[in-house]
Amino acid sequence: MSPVTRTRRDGTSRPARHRAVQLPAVVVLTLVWLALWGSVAPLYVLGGVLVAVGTCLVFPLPPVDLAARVRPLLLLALLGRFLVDVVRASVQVSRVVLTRGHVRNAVVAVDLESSSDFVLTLVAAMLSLVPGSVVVEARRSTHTLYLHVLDVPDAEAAEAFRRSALELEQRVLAALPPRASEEVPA
Amino acid sequence: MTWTVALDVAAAACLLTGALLALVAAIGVLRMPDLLSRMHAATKPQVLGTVLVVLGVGLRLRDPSTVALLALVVVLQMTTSVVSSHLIGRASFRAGQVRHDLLVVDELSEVLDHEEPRGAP
Amino acid sequence: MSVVLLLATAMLVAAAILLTIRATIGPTILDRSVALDVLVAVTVCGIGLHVASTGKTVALPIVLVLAGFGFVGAASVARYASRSDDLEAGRDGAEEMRGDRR
Repeated sequence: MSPVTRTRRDGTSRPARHRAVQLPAVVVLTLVWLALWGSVAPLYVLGGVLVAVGTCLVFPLPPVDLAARVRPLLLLALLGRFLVDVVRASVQVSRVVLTRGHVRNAVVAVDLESSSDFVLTLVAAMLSLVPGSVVVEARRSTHTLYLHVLDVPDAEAAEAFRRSALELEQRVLAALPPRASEEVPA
Repeated sequence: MTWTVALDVAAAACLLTGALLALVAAIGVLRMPDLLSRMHAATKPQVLGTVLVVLGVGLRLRDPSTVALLALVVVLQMTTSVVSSHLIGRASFRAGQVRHDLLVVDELSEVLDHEEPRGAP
Repeated sequence: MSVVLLLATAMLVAAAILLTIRATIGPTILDRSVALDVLVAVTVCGIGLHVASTGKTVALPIVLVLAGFGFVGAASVARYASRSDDLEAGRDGAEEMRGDRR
């Protein structure tokens, strides 16, 4: 993330100061605390909130701006499709591993359509988790992902992989459509 | 067939498949010709294998207080394996340890050759 | 159930042995760190099997910590391996590779 700056009244700029304690972070950390204890008794909730606020104060981070609306049904469809992809790719990679010693690979550049860092991160993480493709390099300035793909026999297959990666991005964008005001480049 | 037996069978199937995936991944890590191919084989037990084993444990324990803990295991494993696989892949590419004779298409080397190596990953 | 557990354990042990071989011979330090990364995943599976067989949940926090921090080793190795030329890397054709990378 590039630093967010604010302009002072005399024209000079300074880095923006964020509130250290953010509600989403506190909620997530409290949920993790409760998951660790495996119980939702009031004392655990209180302790969790205290620990979460303390953590936020000690390790302050800038807020994550999703800049997107959430469509729950499409998000579920995205997750379901992701699980199907993981299972299918696992079977495929297993077959390659067991039957063939010699494989041809490819390094494919995928230019993402969206200019959002959040979408870039999400697509990169999902592509990495599906066996058979690993993100080798990511360019934030041009929103390009460079992926190493297993078992690519020819240039046509590389093109097919690029198409499937862009389809994944479209599914992510459909599930988390950007807010209209955020699309204007700063 | 009662519920408990059915759940036990499902748990056993999950555990067995997870272990099988780990074995296949180990064979892949040993057999594949270069580092990045090995990493593809290594992704399986870290994602699907963990999910299956954790699912098997959950089905066997049938204890609601551990469900959240098990879900946390899956989430942590997924977020961290992305980081490590990306860092290793990037480091191997930057250090020039990629077998270029195995690549059909390589759209990154031409880009990297034109720019200064940026220090730390 | 016990037959299944025995079978799964045998598979995990075999996997661990194969990974140890790779970690021993693996030409570069990155190969070794990948092998050890998978070994951590195998350990997670093994502890999962133990919990499933005994039904005791005391070992679950170990699984959690391994899943959360297993990547630290690989990440720090990658941090230092990225700029050094690993002398062992060129078992086959490092000269050509260094040649065409200039």
